Amino acid sequence: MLCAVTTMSCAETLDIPVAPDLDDVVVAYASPSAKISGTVMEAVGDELLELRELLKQSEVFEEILDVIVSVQLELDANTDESGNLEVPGLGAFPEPNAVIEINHDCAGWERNAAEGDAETAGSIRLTMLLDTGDVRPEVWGDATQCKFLAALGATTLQSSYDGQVAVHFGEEPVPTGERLRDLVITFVLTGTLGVAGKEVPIDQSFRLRGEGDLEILWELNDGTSFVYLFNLETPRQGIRDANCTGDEGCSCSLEERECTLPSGSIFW
Amino acid sequence: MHPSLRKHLLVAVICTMSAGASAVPSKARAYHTYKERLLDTTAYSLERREFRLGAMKLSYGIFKYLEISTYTVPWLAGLFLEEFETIGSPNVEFKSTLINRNRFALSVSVEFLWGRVSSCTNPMLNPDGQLCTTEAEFSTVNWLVYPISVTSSVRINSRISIHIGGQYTATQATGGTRPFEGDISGSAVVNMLQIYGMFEWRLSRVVALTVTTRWLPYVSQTVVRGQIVVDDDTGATIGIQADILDNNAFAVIPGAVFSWNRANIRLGVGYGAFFVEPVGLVVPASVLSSISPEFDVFVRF
Repeated sequence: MLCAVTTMSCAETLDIPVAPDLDDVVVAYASPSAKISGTVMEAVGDELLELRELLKQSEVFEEILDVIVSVQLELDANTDESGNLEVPGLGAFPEPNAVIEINHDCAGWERNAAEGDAETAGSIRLTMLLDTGDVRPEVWGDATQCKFLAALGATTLQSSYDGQVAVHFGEEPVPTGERLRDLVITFVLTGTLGVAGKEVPIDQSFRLRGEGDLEILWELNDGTSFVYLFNLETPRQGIRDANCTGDEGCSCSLEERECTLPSGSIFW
Repeated sequence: MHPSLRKHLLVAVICTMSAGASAVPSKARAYHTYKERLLDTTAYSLERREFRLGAMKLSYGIFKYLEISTYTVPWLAGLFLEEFETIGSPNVEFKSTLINRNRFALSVSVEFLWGRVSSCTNPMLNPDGQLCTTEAEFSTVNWLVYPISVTSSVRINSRISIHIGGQYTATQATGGTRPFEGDISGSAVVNMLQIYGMFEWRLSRVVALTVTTRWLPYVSQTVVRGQIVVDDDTGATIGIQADILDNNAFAVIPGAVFSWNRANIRLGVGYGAFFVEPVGLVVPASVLSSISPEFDVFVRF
């Protein structure tokens, strides 16, 4: 069946929405301003540990990323070698500017469900922009009671997210053929994250750096921030603050309540 | 379209034109006279019960100042191109000379043109590998074009006339693939305004020299709206912004119209973009190396 959209032929314009400004968040990752101390970690360590486990178990970032990547792949499949976006019947559009409104019905918690149902399993709606044929590095939108299954080893956990989503892929537009998962991907979630029956309010930024590295930007009450980093596959974890810069940061274990900073170890 | 139907339609068109050319002479004459005026790019229309049968256009005067026309090329395209699902590109134009007093005339014309083309884009889906069957993947496009024109004509004297007008053309095209399995489909809209003028100098009752100018001061941004289907759970709507045509496309076309008892020939070659009269659209100058032609041969009786 031909599936097509009809519109009336009146003077149409394309309103390109403004992406959320994530510059401050990205800068905060690159230049953490807080100075970590035992007192600071005493205050936030347990909360940070809980958030880490919540993110790790829920895999909410994978759920969101899967949706974005699937649309990017479809765009790439319809883009020729010269960068023209092909719309069957209407021709190829060279280096187009475009607004893409993504709708995804979440899979729900029933493993054998034939397909998602937005009424019971929730949905994700995202906005993606094409800038002269490339994907603009900001994708944003919201999730409405999105329920999905997260794999934790051999078991699965019932996860959910309800709230706003903003994703940042870097400073430059990304070609449709480039692997998004290879980039540093910054998430900002503002809503309620649920896993295994537990629901926690979240207003948080975190980012994926590839090879299972995940970083959490933690803002302190005084307006400064530091980065806690860990690996989803290995026990490696660390801290990046004003005194401990560099991608690897300084060694820090939330479980052992110990960080090794340039000035020496701190405990809490 | 079925090949036999295409052949019958071709025969019908040829017979109609032949019959017109050999019809019993009427009182109407096509020489350049005070009464017989140029029809193209002017405010004038056929008299009641008057015919125009030509290579490019077929017209009939329904009332004194109302003619109905159809352009032949869009129909003939369907005879030669198998991709058409409609019988060519059906089109009809109504032109009415609302005012024709003393030296001034004013007309309004409205045209509708539509069509549908479907081409096999993935014959590999057919087990035979060569012929496109209903199981093959088709790429389809539908279009609807409706130009609206207002033209005025002023007779300076018995030999010289000036014609000025404007045409607003709204175009919509809808495309997609079928069967629809995870792909992009969409519709495009583009509107444009054309201003035209023609200087007419009658050298004799047979020969009239013309200089036609056409200008495109406004072309709307082309907006394509479509759908992306990724899988059962994921889809998207897409709005694409594209600039297909340039504003300020123009053409200057010197030409001549030869008019005898019934036969007429209109010829012209100019510089600039090619303004396709039947559809009110414009082919950019770069496509035809800035050659802008005008041609028609027709009988009027």
